[in-house]
Amino acid sequence: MVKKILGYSYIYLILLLMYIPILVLIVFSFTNATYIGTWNGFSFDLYGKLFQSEEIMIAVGNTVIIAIISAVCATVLGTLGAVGGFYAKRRSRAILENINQIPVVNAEIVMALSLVVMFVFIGNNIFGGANLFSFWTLLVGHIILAAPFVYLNVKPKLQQMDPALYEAALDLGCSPRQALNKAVLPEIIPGVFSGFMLSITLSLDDFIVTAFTRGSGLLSGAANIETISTLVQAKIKKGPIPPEMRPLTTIIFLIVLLVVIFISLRRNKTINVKSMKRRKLREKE
Amino acid sequence: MQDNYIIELKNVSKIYDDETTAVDNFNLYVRKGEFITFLGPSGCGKSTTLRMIAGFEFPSKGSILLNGKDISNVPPNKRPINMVFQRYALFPHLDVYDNIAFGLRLKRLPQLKKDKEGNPILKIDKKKIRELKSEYHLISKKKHISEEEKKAKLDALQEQIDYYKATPVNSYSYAKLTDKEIDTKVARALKIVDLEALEDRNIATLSGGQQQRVAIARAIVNEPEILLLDEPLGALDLKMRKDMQIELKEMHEKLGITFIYVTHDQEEALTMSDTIVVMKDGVIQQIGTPKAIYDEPKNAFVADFIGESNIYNGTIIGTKKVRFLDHNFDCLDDFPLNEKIDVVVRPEDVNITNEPGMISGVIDNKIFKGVNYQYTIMVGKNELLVKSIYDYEVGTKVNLNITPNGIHIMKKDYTVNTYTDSWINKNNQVMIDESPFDCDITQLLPGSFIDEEGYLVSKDKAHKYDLNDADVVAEIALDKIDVVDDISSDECQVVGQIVDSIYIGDHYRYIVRTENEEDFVFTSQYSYNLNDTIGLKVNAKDIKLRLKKEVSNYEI
Repeated sequence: MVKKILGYSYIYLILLLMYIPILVLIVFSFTNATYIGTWNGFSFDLYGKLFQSEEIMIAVGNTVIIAIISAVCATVLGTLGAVGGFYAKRRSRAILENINQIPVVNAEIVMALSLVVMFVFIGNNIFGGANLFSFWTLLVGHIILAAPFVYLNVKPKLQQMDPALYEAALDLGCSPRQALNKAVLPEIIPGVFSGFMLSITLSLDDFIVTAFTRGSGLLSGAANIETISTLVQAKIKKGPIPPEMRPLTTIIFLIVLLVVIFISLRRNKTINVKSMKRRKLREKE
Repeated sequence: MQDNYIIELKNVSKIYDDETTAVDNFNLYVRKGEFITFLGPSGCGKSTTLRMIAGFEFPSKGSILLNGKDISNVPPNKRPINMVFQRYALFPHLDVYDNIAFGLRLKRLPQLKKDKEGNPILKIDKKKIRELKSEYHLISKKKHISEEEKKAKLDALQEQIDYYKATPVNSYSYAKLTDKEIDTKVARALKIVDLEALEDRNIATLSGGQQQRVAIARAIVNEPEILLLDEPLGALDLKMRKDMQIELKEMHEKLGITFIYVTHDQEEALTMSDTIVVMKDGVIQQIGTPKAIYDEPKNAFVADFIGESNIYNGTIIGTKKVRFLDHNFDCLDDFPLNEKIDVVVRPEDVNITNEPGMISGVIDNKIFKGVNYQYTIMVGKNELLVKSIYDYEVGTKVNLNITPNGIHIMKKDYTVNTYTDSWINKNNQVMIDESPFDCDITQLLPGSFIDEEGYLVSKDKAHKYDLNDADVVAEIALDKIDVVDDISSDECQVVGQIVDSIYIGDHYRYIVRTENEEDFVFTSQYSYNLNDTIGLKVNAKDIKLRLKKEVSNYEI
């Protein structure tokens, strides 16, 4: 009994330590003090300022656009790679897996630097000295960052799947592409989805690759693209963390919380709509 | 002209990229409505043959004809053939109903396109041209057919492509089946497999037997011309398997379609099939009805694989007279005088009698089998397996009779030495004729190795096997036995007398008989005299082994 209580209190202690900083942040987003620790009374001032600050809104817009586009591309790329690898011969699969593993374990700074070198090299030698740095180079950077993680998320789902499913679908009249869509994809979709979510997260809070590969474009117009992380970094250089960041992070946290709750609710829903449809079909007779 | 064959396999071979031959020159003609079984030990090519019929593999050589039309290189989704997979391969994201309806929802019924006056609209058939082109590409990459054959096939295809390019043909629009039609068909299939009550159930909540039924329903609902079953009962327990055997047989009679069934279980094959194809190493050993294969096995392999049997070396000593077990028996088969032959005696064809019999022996071992007892009786130095309903004590001396129609004589198969009563000793050597031979037992389980304690460990290291005393069938090719001149040397593994020698073109073929009446057949360039006593040796890697029971029986 004592053991049980100790065990539970340990877990709750860890959880408390993890969430206290976020809770403090949320609390202090409802006061207009510049520094955390001083309480000037409850107000929504910071929320108002946040939505009036053009700078922050542009950064948020950029971040979301890049996150969604790069996550979609990385998910398609990573999923196709995993399926291809799964059905490939053992040797080519081993090679593919090792290549995929390197970016995952490698330091991000190495990848960022090598991308810069590559873009400069290509710009000088193929595009006649043009400056390639733009939204597109940033996008490529983020896709490369996320695609290996999608591969790693999809792979275990494929391994759990009966490899004969693809052949069974062919046998029942599917073309190869239909078999992939109707038999293989439904089996791996949880892995694909978690890969997608991970890609979004990786892109949202990425600083190093963003800082190295960005150029002008998107909502920032002619200036360098600012995302939330690069903006915060620029601000910190000059002074304290802008107070508007507190409501922003609070909002992000709440959105993530809602998404997580929504997903786990969906998973528990087991109403079978299809069988009701069928019953109707037969009652008509 | 034989039009009543639904599927014909002509000289079909499958050679993989690494030059291993899985199926070698397979010829088979299947009648409509037949229940045909491919039977053989694992790795004999039976599944590969089935997969070629399904279209998952394309033959390297030869052709497969369906109703007289060549379908060798047609992809699986274009064949009116459906398969029940070994582990069912049901779609877990769909429920029972949707699994069964899967094929029907993909089905498109062609409808002739007509213009306003009711004349068919003619168009160039681009789809057909695309299909022919992909077949052309496939054939042009084949490595194992002769250049002339390839050229003839490619020319014929090119001609067809040119024809379709130049000639507009009837065009079709494709209509889906309505929900109503699908529902009727699914309901009928559910009724056939007795699963009406479970249509809304999730696949994961079904038992193995129920999943099996869904897999069958999913295949037959498409009304295939041929149903392929790849060891479908392998994952079920014994009781369930017996029930399903009967049900499958009934289903076959009800549906009237052709069943092609793959199994390594000889009892299953004997119970269900109209025709059995026994295979070994990619080669057909015998095709026949279950009765013919049981009663008249063509060679020692078939006799040993189908049912329990006693196999002996014998000699023909007169018209319909054969000598084995040191006794002269009457038999029904006529063979030339003095020919060395294999004799098969089924355990149930030996009668134990209290009166004086033809031969006598001592009961060495007794196992109660329920309906009868199974005795191992030592007749001289030979073991004889006998089944009897009467109870005798171990150690009793008994007299035995074998009637002429219980003795089946087979021409000796001189392509390979087969030792059906070998076993593995504790040093992981194979015992042939009471002599130990070094051998490679890791071949019994692909990818396995032997640990320092001498146990066989599976590739993933999850299973460990103790093969001491395991019964195996050992095979040694004729050209892999070497003669040791000095019979007292350590190299020499077995000693015997040359009892037969024959000159075949450029080499001799000898039969060496040991003291225990075991024969070793080998070929050699050198000449030896009849009745010479010589020593023999075999390299460890040249002994091929096959376990009599499943390897899982030896797991520790």
